[in-house]
Amino acid sequence: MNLTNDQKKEILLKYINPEKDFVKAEDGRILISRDASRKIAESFNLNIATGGQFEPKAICDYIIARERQRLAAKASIERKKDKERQEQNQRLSKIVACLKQAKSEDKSDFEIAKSLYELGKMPFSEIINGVEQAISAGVLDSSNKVKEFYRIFINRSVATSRFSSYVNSTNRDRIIEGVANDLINYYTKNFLSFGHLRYALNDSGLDEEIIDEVINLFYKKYEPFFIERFKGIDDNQELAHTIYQKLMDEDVFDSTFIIDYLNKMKKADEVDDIAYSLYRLEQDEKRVYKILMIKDISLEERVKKLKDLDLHYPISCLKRTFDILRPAYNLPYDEILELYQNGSTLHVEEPAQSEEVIEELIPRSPDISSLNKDGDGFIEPHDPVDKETTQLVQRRLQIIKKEKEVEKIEKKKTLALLLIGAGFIPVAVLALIFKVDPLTASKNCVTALSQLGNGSLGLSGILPDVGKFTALLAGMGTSFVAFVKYLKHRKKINGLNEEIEDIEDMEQAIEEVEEIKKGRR
Amino acid sequence: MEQGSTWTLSDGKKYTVVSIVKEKKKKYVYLIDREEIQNYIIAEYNNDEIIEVIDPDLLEVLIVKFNEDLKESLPKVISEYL
Repeated sequence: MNLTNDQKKEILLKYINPEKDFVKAEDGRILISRDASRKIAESFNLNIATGGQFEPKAICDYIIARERQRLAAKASIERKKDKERQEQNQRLSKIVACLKQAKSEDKSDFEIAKSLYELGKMPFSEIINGVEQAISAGVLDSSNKVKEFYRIFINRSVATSRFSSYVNSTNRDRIIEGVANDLINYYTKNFLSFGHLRYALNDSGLDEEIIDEVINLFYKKYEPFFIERFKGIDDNQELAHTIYQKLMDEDVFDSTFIIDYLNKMKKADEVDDIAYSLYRLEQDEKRVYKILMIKDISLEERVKKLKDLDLHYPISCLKRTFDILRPAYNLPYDEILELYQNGSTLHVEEPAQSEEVIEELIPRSPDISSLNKDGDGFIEPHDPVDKETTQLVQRRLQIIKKEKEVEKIEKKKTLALLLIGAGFIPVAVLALIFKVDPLTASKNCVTALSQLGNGSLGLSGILPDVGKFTALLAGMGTSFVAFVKYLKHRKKINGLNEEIEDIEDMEQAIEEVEEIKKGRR
Repeated sequence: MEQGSTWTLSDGKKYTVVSIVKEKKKKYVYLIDREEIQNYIIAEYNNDEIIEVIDPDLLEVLIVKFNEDLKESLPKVISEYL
């Protein structure tokens, strides 16, 4: 940085007064006075002997050099600040543009938060600022939950990387203990809900069996927290509702687990009492879901169906269910709730089709109607309770748990089938003599294979022959043969044979592999 | 009928819908047997009826279409699952 003579003069005048600070030494040299030298030394943190004096040329050069450095540093800081401001503005525009775009596409708050998260790493305060600006500009509704959902995404990525840090450890017990401790820490401090923690665990790359053991250990570790959390609530109905609202919606804490805990804090008959309530709430929730899932019915019809359920569900639970569904399904939840709470009781003709849907969707449960003494369709605390009832209810709760497990496995299996199905198509395309770019076509195949092969979807063991990568390849080989045969059978043409000569070689090779496999079996 | 749903056909087997495409105003489905994955069907879907496609030229067109559909829908399915 260059300084003009005037600037240099100005700087030097801060430290040296030319009228009194230049003095003549005994040897005739001109020096800076002792007093001024001491002050200069203090200003620049220099060492100077007591009574020492600076030589004017040297100290002036030094002061100018230091000042030049200081100004250069200041300019650099200013430039950096400018750059940061510029970047911050760019990020803010990006955030606002993303919000506008998301809103124009009618995305839910959850999806908007996801879009923001996908913009890349950004300071949380800037996201808040962007959202606030979008609210002021009328882009977003002030009651939106974008900030809340964004926080969830951020926390999920923190939890995922924390869990991932255990992946390379070789001590299995230590991994399980460490992850379970983190899990309990995150959960009890409301860092994330259990559902989201499960997502983070699944994304961490940890082995599925380890995750299962982590969850089991988590249950054990959570017990004292559970007891502490709910011990003050004496009314059993209130306790059931509180537990349901706080824990059941987390999707992990199923009835059996809760009842295990309750057994440690309540008497047996009280536990039964709470179990009935939990069961009823669970049933109510299922029914509410089914009603919300019916397609193409009016708002009034939907509300009427909800009212007809005669729910035991408190309104707070209903709100919670709506909030869970809100990100996934676009329905006028607020209007439904409003009409449900305050609307008139409309009489709506039931379209036959909707009834069928309901019938089809009502969950199957074991028949315990004989135990329902007052005939209202539910076994309730005021129905006489005996040992048999308790056992049946507990069995019923077990069955519900099993049903949930089966549902989850079936869902996984469907995904596996879709991936495999997607994998078949490129093979078929290749069999159709490369009429489309085989590389592009194979992308689906590669995606399917890698998703299944790396175990990231936790599909191992769902389909017996595709659990592992190698087994999947064998499966693909089999499918390839089958598909070529299928096409040949369908086409019944000779001309194709010549073109698929290479493929037939492969077919032959695969058939040989199959033969070998059969031989091994 | 939607992607991922399960249907029981007249052979008594359960099939999962892998892909659905439209070609010349008709709806075609690609089904895969839930138990024997090598067993799949490409068929026209009309009023709850499944008519297997046997025309080789149409098959060619449909396979390319299914490929396009899956290329687009698969990432969504996976992200929904996750």
